[in-house]
Amino acid sequence: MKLSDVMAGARLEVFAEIGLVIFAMAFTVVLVTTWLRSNRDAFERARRIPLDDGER
Amino acid sequence: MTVRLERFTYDDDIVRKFMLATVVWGLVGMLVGLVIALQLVIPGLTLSLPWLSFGRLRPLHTNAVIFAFAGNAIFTGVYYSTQRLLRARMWSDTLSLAHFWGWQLIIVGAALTLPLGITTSKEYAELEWPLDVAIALVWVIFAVNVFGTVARRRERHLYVALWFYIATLIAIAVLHIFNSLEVPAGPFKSYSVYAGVQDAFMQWWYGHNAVAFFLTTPFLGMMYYFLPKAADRPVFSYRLSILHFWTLVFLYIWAGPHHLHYTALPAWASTLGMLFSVMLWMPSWGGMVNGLLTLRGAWHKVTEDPVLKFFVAAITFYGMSTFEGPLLSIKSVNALSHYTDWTIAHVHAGALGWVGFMVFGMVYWLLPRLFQAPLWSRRLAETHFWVGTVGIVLYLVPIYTAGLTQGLMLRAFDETGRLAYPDFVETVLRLRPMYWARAVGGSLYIVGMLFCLVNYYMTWRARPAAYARAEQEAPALAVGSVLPIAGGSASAPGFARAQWHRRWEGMPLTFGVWVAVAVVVASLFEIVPLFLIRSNVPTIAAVRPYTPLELHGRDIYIAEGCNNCHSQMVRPIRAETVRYGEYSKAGEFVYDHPFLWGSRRIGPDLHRIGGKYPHLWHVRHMDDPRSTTPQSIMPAYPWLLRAPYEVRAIERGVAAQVTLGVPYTPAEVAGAPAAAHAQAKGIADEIARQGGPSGLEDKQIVALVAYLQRLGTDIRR
Repeated sequence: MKLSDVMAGARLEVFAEIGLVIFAMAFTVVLVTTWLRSNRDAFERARRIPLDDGER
Repeated sequence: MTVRLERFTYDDDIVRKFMLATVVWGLVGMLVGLVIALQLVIPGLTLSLPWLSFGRLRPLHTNAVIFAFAGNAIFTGVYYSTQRLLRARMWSDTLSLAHFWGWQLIIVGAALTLPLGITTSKEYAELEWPLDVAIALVWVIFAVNVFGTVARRRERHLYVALWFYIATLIAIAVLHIFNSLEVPAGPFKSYSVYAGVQDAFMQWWYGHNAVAFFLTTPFLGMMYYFLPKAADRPVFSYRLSILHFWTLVFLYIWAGPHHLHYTALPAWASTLGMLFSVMLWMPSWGGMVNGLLTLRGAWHKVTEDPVLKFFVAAITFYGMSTFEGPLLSIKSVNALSHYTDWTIAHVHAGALGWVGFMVFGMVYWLLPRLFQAPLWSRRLAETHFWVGTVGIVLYLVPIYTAGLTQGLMLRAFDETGRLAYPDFVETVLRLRPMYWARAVGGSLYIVGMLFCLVNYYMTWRARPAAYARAEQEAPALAVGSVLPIAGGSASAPGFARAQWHRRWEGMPLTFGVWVAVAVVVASLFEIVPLFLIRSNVPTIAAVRPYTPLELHGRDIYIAEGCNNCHSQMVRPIRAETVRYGEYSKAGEFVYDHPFLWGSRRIGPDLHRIGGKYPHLWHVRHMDDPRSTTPQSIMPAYPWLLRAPYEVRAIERGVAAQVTLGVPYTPAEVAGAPAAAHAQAKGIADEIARQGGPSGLEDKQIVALVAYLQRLGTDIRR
């Protein structure tokens, strides 16, 4: 039996949809964390980094 | 506690080198583009010289603009901004130089090999295996240098621009290595390890993500650094930039299959690519809005500053292109746009508007700083902006029109149910005025580049005898410390709190690994089912390997770049099946290393060309296309009737195909030259009997005719 036969019988048709759900969840985690109020000060400082390198 | 300050300088010499290479190669690449644009209206411009033909020069144009112009611009921006964002000199000056000279040698290698017909045929990955290896090595040098600099940085937080650079470093390495897996068949020839549908998928997984991770993410990183610098305003929303980054990394990698709608690719993969492409619209516009809103309170500067003008126009083009991309990925739109100039227009909106204008904005901002002299002429830079903008408009309007015109003509039926324009050349002739207008627009854009070169040269001439090296000061990072961002305080509650993402991106290796995981896992979700589920590529018993002569003819087809103008994919759309014949099936391509489906039809599809015309028609057509199709814009290939085919190449080709799993028997491998000669003799005799020239049995034309006559005929057995 070849690997392709095994894969054909594994009913992987939903494989892509599972991936979609996983990545949607990961994106949600990033979204929520980014908008947590506790991160606000850190991001406020981070956005100024290019302007604070002493060069104009 | 006292903090010891470390003193250091930045390596701006390497930035100057890459910037010079950017403008010089940019001009070369765009001039080649102008030449091939003119060849479409003046076919004789090839002068019947092999190395001037459209099929050979088109990949030179695309590679020069992408990897020489945009590539050197990326390295300019990365080397300048990375040092400053990390408060550290590049890790190794030697590696910086090795990177610079290695990359320029690769470009020279491309400029020499592509016009000689040494190509893999895979778009934006045409360079043959020795150059592929060189690219991988130079890329590793670049990555080591950047990660080494990150490791010894004096700024704890990795600013968002650096995330985009790291994503570029990782994703391009993965894409290049896996799309370029090939079996050599000589010093300048190789065959892709993938075949047919799977090769097409890998190619467009690479091709689309080359746009994503070579022409988008590094330029976004540059936008997040150079735009705030030029506007003297911090980025509008750092949170939005984080979302912009992660959504692009999550989504982009899935989108490649939208280049293969209605082809033999399984529909599920194509649909998945479409869905992710449509979703890409959101983060892309988030980034565009973030860029434009960074100018809040600074719009008055845009009227005075050519740098900001270039940046604003570039970001606007980014928004337009990333709206159009998802639109084109929708299947019903793609059915019309694919294989037409609409794709060319879309690509050039991104390349000329987004990439080109970002580069020019950056170059004008860097010139006075790197050469320590005022910009020679702000007025000339302004003129460059306006000439370039008019050039883009004059380029895009006719080419969008051309795409729509040809797409609609090719699918038009008359009231009797027959094709309204059955002769393909009718649709091409309709485009000639638009091709002329495009050449004018492109010329204007090049004139703008010349203005940039003049400004560059004159500013450089005003440089001091020796560059002042500004000494920088910053405290070293203590292990495990959380240093403040300049202007902040280490004890500031928000910063000192151990937020997971900030801690995470403070660990560049871990951060890089997770970017790689996002890219690789997303890829595997598409690749694994496609490669391992047999039903995705149903086999067809009648499909057999090419004969040695046909295989060699296929190599000639690849060397001449025929796939740049001709597709080999009849889509299951009525207008195509009526025009070309039975639609193409996945099982017909199982021995096609590489696939040759093409992406643009300047000439008709060739998948069902086999047996449509006698041998002599092909000979005359290749010798002088106007002799068989009076208004054809195809270049002539008279050298194919003179140059002998290479017996040794046939042997090597068949042997390499065996390595790839093509079922030639040992007897067939051993007898390949003899079999090729026998078939060639038969075809040459037939050509002579039909009234054509004699003595062609050892010429390349016979191999090409053998291949063309075989195309798409297996399913008729």
